[in-house]
This record gives sequence, structure tokens and C-alpha cells, in this order.
Amino acid sequence: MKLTRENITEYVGRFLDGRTSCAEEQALYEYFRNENIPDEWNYLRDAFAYFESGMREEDAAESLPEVTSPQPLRRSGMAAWCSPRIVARWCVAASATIMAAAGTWLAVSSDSNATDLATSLYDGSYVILNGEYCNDIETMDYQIDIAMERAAIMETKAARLLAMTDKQQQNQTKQYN
Amino acid sequence: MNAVKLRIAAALTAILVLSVSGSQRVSAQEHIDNLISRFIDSNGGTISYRSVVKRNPSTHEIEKRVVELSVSNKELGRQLIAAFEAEKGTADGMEINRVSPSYYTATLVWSSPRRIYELSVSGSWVSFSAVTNYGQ
Repeated sequence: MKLTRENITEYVGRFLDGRTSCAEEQALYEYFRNENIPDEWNYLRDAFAYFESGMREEDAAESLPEVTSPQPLRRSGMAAWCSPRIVARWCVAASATIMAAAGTWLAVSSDSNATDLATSLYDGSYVILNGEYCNDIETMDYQIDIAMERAAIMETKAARLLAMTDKQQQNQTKQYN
Repeated sequence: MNAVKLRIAAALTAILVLSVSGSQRVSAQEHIDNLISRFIDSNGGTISYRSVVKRNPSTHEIEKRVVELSVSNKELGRQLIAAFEAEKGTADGMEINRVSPSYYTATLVWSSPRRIYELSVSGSWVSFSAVTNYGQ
């Protein structure tokens, strides 16, 4: 089996998925041992050297026959679980799980902190709608937003009115002078 | 010596005038606030009333209060128009529109502390808003 620039991508993908046969893996090791590989695959050279060293030790221990038909590689006992590839995959899976759990915990705690802050910022607010009194800040969230937007509009108008008054006073002062 | 006494008297007079005008400002706003408070306390019906306070996150003191009232009540409309007309002389900024006897809008602004009062009366419909900034 000859690996070329065109099919190397497919075989590397199958290798990482654990779907390569012994022969295909040996071909991959030999390919990456070659110094004349494309630059874009250079970063995998050390990884395949590592895989090859691990596979060679396991082969020496178990003396597996060469499998020519494309079948998933099978190993028995502890050797299977100690395969570097499987260990690496478990490490990646464990890291991803830990990160997901940490992210979820951070999101939940920040949500509760945000809720507590909102409640304390607007503590004392209330609404009366059709005779019904409500002072639950979380329920009033929308009403609070409306009130704050209204306040912003009024403050813009007030600034304009005060500026106009100042200008009128300045004009009057100029007239008297 | 007489010049010194005159200066002291002028300063005291200025202080008296400022304090009286300041108290007039407070009473103008209190007049309008009291009208609203009495109406809210006495009237349970179909009103929409919002009182929102915003506090300083560090000190928890109130920084801003926003009050909004919407109600259909001709008498309240007349009372508020009268209050706005009476108090407009103490405001630092204002805008008043008397489009017709049944349509009136006004905005009064006091700068220190910053208070903004808005009123819109259309027929029997009254819409009142007030923003008070504390500590400014």
C-alpha cells in the first residue's frame, strides 16, 4: 500500500478514528519516518513516531499476526486499555467533560449573582396595575426597563431645556450690556 | 465700620433670599408629589403606576427614582395642570404647550437636585412622569 499526497489525509483520519489495519498503520509510520513529507504534515511526524514506538512494544509483547484486510485493530486485556491512542482519547474526553462542567458551574453562579445584583439595585421598586400591587423585582423586570428608558428620554430633554435656558439668559445679558 | 456692617447685612440678606427660594423649590415639587401620593392612596381603580428606584451598588443608597402614572381622571388632570402652572416660576427649565383647553403638555426641570416632571393631559387621560436624581 503506497501513501501519497492525495490519500494521506484519508489514512491519517482513519488512523485517528482507530479504523486502520496493521498494514495501513505500518505504512503510515513508514511514511512519517520519511524526511521528505509535505510541510503541512510535518507537525504529525513526532506523534506518529510516538505511536510507532508504543505499537512496536505492544507488538513485541503480543506477537500479533499481520492483518491484511481492513479491520479495526483489536487488542486484548490491559494492553488494549493501555494503548497510547486510547489513553490519549480518554484524556481528551475527560478534559472536555471537566471543562464543560466548569463552564456550566460558572454560568449558573454568574446568573445567580446577576439576579442578586439586579434585585438589590432596584430594591424598593413597585408597580400598581389595575389595583394590584407588585414589588417582586424579578416579576417587574420589564416594568423596570420601561421606567429606566423613560427616564433616559426625559433626562435628554431636560438637558436640552436647561441648555436653551442658559442660552436665553446669555442673550439677555448681552442685550443689557 | 458702617461699610463692614453693610456688607454683613447684604450677605445675610443674600443667604435669606437663597434659602427662601430653595425652600420654594422644595415646596413646589412637594406640592406635585403630594397630589400624586394622595391620588394613589385614595384611588384603587384602573390606574397604571410605576415607582422604580435605582440604588448605588456599593452604598445601596437611592441614586434615582422614576415615577410614572397613567390614569383616566379629569379632576386629577385639572389639579396637576394648576400645580404645574403655579410652580413653573421656580423651574430652571420648562416647556409648556397649551394646544387646546383639553390638551396640555408640560415639562419642568429643576437642576439642583436634578428633578424632571412631565405632564400630559388629553381630555380626561392623565400621564405623569417624574425623575429625581439624588445626590446631584
